[in-house]
Amino acid sequence: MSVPRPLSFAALHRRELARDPWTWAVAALLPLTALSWRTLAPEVGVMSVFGVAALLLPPAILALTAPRLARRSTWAFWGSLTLRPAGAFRGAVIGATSGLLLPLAAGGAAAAAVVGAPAPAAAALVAAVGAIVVAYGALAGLAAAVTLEPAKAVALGAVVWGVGVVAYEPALVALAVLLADRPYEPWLAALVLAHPLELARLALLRTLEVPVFVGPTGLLLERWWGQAAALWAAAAALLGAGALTVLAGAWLARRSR
Amino acid sequence: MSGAVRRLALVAVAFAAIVAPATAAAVPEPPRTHVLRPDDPWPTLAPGDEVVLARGTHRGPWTLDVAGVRLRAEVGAVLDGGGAGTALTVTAPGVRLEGLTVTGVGPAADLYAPDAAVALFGADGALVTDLRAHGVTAGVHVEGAADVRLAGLDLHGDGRGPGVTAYLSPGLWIEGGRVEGFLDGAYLERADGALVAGLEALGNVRYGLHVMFTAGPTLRGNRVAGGGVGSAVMYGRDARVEDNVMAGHRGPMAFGLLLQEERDALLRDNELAGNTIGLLLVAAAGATLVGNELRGNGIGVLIDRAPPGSAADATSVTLTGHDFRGNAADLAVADDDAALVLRGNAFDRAPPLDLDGDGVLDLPFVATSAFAARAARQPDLMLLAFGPGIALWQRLEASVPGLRAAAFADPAPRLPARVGRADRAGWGAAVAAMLLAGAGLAAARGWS
Repeated sequence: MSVPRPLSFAALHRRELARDPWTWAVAALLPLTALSWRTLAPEVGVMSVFGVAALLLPPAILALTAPRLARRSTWAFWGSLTLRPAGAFRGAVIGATSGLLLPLAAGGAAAAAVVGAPAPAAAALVAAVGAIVVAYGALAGLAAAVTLEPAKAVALGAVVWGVGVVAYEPALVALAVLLADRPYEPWLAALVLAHPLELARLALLRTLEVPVFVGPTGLLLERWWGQAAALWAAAAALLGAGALTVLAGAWLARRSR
Repeated sequence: MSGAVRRLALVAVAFAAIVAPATAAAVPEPPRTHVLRPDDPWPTLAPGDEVVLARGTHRGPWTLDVAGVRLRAEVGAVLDGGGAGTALTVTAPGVRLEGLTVTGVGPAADLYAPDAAVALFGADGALVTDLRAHGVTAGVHVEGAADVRLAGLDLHGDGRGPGVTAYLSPGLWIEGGRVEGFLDGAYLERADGALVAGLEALGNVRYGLHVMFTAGPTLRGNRVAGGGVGSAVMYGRDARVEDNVMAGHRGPMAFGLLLQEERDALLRDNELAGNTIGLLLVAAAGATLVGNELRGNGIGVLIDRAPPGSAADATSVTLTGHDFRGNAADLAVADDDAALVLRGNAFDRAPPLDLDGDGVLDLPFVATSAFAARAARQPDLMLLAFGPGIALWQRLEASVPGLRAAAFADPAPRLPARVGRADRAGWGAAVAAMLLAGAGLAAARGWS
């Protein structure tokens, strides 16, 4: 029996995710929810689509990918061969993420069309949806590697989603209120820049030229980024996802020993 | 003819014979026309004379101190101020300047005493038409002159001084023209009853139109765009701001229009678009806002507190018939003492529930949120606008009656206009279906 290479694991998982009808159902959610914003200005529609994508897609991505990546018996089988488990697992994570990427990006594009976004805004939205998929695909991989149990992996990812998406911005507001009489701007800037999805959102706002870059922090970001906000956000999402994927592989390899 | 009538006629003839020569001697000379060529000396003028500037560059600076003089520049005639002081200073009433082109203005950029292309001191009733001055420190300075009219200005500054500055100039009219690239496009102070109409104020470093301490000013049909700050009407009363476009003012302190400590202002049918803040109200008591369009702003309308120590009344404002579209936040109130009445406004975010089809929505709409109010106090937080966590928070706030800022609700909002919406939605849905069908088909055929 020949030992499969990491690329084979990538192709296997990509195909599995791309052919899953639930993947397409999730993708269809984006244009369907966008129908309720078709009366808004395109910029607001695009930002609303991004907001709902950040809320809906991570749990769906976790539910679709984590169980497939956390199959303990599968990895035990491959681990018993001469396969390098870290590389194989990373390949699987990359494959699963890329299997989601096209359908969900298509869903983002369809949603952009529904809200009447012009081409640059639509492209930016697709890229931002891609950033969500890449980030949470990698996170699902790490959760799977850490737990190797589908339910626990999904639960762990959901906790990170709850903290990182649902509670993150209200927490930033609370922090700003608490530190209102102190120079809170550096903290705010650091906490926004440290979060790949916040970066993606800000890049989207910058691309759409929504005039929300006010105050010292906004001014600083606008000057610092110039016209390259999208590149910064893309780089941050890819680097963050890459780091999580590398960590996931290393974790699984450690468990295999 | 009776004897009495004959005697009366004789007396009249005699009177005419005595008085007529004296009367004839008092008739002034008719106005003269002086054609002035480059390097000609400045002529001696009498009231009502006309000076025609012939083509070519005339060396200034000049002072015009004879009443009623008409200075008319032929095409190609240029007044060069010599790079020091104001190029042409007028100190007499009733002067008319037509078609003048000015260069070589001095460098002083003082808002109240700039080196300008033309300065009018006490020149009541002066008329300046088609003045052209590019690359100057300031365009026109009016001081202590009533009923001055400036029409068709074409002024382009170097960003340091004002385009038009007027002080103690009641009844000033500025009609048409363009002021671009100055510190302030037009700065009016104590210019009661002033009218600024049809003016384009573009890319000015600070304010486009700036009116201070003035009763009854009117800003009508102007276009102010791309400035560093916006336009402001402050510390006056009874301002009318109508049919203006104020757009594209972005930055930490930028707005379309600021009303600060301005009583009983009327804002009607203005378009405030793409500004960081569309309309900023600070202690604007008795303001009436009707039919303005607030589109694509960071915050559509922001009501803020007066600065500490101000004795001005808090903002009390009625907003009727507005169109709020595509703003990150439609309304933010950071003044706890503000009194706000909303009636018949259209909000693109309002649930479009209109069962009886009368164009009035069936549910009240709260156009603000706790996040918007907080962001108004701490502007850095606007960075979080449209974030998923904030969206969820606002949705929760809108869904729980106890959390809503019900005092800022429009009880009967209008259905937003549907311009182009059906087409867009139709095409969008079609494209969406095609994209999804194509991608799904690819997957089903074993895409890998």
